[in-house]
Amino acid sequence: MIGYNCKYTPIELLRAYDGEPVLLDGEEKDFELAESLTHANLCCHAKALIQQGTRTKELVLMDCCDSLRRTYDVLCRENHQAFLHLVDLPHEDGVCARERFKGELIRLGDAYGAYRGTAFNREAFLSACRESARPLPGGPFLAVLGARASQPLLEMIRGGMPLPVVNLTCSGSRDLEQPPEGAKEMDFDALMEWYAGALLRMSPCMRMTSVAGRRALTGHPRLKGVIYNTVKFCDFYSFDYAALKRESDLSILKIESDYMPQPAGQLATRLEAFTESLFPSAPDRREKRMDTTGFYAGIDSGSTTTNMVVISEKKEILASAIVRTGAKAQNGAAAALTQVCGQLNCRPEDFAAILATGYGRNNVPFATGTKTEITCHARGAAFLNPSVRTIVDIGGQDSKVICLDEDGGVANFIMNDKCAAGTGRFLEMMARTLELDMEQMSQRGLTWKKDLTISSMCTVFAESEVISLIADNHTDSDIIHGLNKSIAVKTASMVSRAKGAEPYMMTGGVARNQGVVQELEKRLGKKLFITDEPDLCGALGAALYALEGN
Amino acid sequence: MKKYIETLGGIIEKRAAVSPERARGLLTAAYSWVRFSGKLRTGSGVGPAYSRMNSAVAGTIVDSFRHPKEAVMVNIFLPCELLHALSIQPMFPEGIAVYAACTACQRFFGETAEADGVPESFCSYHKTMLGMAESGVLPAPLMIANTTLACDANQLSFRRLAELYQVPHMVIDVPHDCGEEAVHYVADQLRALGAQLEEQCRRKLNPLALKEAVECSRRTIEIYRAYLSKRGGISLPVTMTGELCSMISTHVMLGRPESEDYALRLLRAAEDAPHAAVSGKKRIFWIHTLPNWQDSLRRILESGGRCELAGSDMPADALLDMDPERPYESMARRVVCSTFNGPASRRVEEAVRRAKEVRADGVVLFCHWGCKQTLGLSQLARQRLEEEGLPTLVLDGDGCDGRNVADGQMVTRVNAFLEQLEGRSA
Repeated sequence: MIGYNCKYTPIELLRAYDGEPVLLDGEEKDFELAESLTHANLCCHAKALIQQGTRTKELVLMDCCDSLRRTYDVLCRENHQAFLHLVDLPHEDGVCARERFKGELIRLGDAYGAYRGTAFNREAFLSACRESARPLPGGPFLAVLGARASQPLLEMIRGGMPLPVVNLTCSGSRDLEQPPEGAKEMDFDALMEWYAGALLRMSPCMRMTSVAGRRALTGHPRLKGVIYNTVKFCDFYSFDYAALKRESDLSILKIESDYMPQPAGQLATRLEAFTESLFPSAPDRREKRMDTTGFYAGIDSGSTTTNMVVISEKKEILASAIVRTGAKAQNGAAAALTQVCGQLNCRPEDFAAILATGYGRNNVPFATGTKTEITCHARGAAFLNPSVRTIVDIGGQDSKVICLDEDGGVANFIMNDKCAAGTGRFLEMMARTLELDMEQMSQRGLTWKKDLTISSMCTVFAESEVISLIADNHTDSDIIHGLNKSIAVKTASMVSRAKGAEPYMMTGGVARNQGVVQELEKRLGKKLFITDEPDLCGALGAALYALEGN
Repeated sequence: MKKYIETLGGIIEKRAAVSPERARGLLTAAYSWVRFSGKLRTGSGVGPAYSRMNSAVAGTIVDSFRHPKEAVMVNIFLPCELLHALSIQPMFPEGIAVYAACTACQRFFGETAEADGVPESFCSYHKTMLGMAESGVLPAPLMIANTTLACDANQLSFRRLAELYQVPHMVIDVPHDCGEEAVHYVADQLRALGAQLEEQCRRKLNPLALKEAVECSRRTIEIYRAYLSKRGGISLPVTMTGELCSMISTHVMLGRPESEDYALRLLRAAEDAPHAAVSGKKRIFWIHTLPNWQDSLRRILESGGRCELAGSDMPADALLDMDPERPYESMARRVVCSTFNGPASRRVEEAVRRAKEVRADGVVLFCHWGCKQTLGLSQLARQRLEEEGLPTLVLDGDGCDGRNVADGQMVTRVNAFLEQLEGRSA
């Protein structure tokens, strides 16, 4: 087999020389080798490819981007391959560019043929061209767009979505046109000229100069939604995503992947929430029901706390609990249930329905159904204040911005990625560095005198910046104010990216931190609507769903 | 002085959020002062040379802010003799972003771009320029022209800006091999750019003016090469800003008399400089751009007394012979044969040669945030330079955005590296 990584790779030509091209799109457990050979901040696909490349005998790379160019340089130096070739891909598809690309293709063919001891087989070439067509599904479908996605990631997405999912990423959208009539008789040079043009005429990836053709990817009437993938440290597709959001009404879920195994919970939450927003009336998969007695509960199993709310049939809040989740989600859930049962003097069997949400929602054994915290937060917020259009939720391990439509449904949402900057965890880490508890962090940030700025984006860098500020004798209050500003900047930026509109509501444990709230209000230029128990919004939404679904 | 600059930066950031024209006015006033005061610097040595070049660069920003329809946005590697021949000002991200960083207002623009969806991992120079444009501070130019050399950021930011400004955009596609076929391919695109510029500015390109600009480039390159040939034997108080000035003088400003004057002043300073052995400082060869906004590093590299910047690779990536009779091919060759084009080995081997030529004791490879080209070759270069007996520090940092920098850690690493070099000679 000969490994490749880009849709512009002339795989039909490689087949014509008896090659078996295989797309290298696997994940790696870590990037220890790649980072020792390059740099930690290189595109994660390039790092995965370096590691896979060292295990691959034959490899052809396209000059896709800076990272791939350096991948080729590193692999050349490491010298593990029997055959390694870089094709210089033009950025244009004009006549001169096609001519240059044709030359590149012929050079590749000559080199590969010489290596394998084979000659160009026209029949195999034309047959490969004809087989390259991949028709779209006959019915409605979803598409993965953007940067290449690993095979395990695609499988997770396909497994989590209710419609067929088509791979239209930069390594998947290979819409090669069919060979012209008379291709069997064309001279080799003319055939290669057609082939170079056909490759350059495919839907362009973002490194090409003209990307207008990309919109054809999202213009299909049967396309119902897009999962937009970006790869960590690949910059190309964040630009395309921003443009698509501006120009299209399509439902889009943005995810960021890094060619390492994904945290299944986080991805599942996003995919489920996306499904819930695409198909609001989709039935709950678990469909477990208890006997109706009048108590309806929602339980939000988060990374730091587990929150529970019980409501009556008239939607009155009867009881609530906020307990530490601890090491296991089910233990936190059991503790919350015990608390609310104590408040209501009832038994677990007395609940008509209990809907679980949050990261641990699938580990709540007594739940009768599940929904994601995104949908539940939206429901809870719409119930508490129907005018709210944007929810800012900053919890322990993630932060989210959820935009609501006029009916209180989820119009759009974005979440932070693996990075902890801007989350409750960030504040907890900084509190540890300052040797304060969270209550002190909340209060002391209000009495600042000197306007310090924590400039680092990264949690680890910010921690070392805080240590330097402590060493420079700055007060706790001034440093905490700087940290609060840093969270506010990051969150306001997310609001802006999600195109969030006022009125704003803030939920999650960080909404209790007055310093962060003040700074965020300053950035947004508007007051935030915050309830007395901002942690309970998701659980309340879940309780409402439990009632409405019963 | 720093306090005043920070105050000014704060005011500019606040103004930019509500009244971008006012922020532009403040920046124009500040850079007009740099232009004016730099022009007044006379005398010999590298200091006046840097001030005067700085003045010329500030002048391009001031003029492009005042008369944006007489300016074209370009990347640093685009040969600009065509612009000079048509009296058009170049606007380029590295210049604009570095000036914003040194005016303590870069943070706002970085955050503005990120809020509009520009990824955090994107090159900070381009991100800053996008933030300035999207906040309305950077006015719409006549058109945009860029090469695909040397980085992917060009393909993304300039296209986005062309859409934002609704101005024509032309991309010069640069192949990786440096043969004659590639030179002709690029030369033809430069001819098309010339025609496009004529159409946009409604002036005819005078072939004699182009020839004179290329002739000026030829002389400048020759003088700059003469300066570099002396660099190994002498000691000079080179600054980070100075190396950036050198980079600009051999790129977007090449072909203008200010660059020729700059090269001449450097050469004269080199002729009058003391022998290298006299200084006793460790000689550092620098790879990639320099974070001249960072006071802590300036204190070590410029005034610490322990080391001197003996050279950097960016100003000398394409100091090739120019033929004024064949201006397009000459400009094209400079792009195609740049050491930044093609495989990493081309740039690394040239860095090895240059570091030896300037008798460097050690090399700092600066991994500017978001520059995948440089990040990707960092370990290859370190390995190769150390094979040649040149200790190398791979230093992560940012040429203009303090948010991506762990300042204390950088200082520790550079100091430890100097101790390592001093330990070797002991």
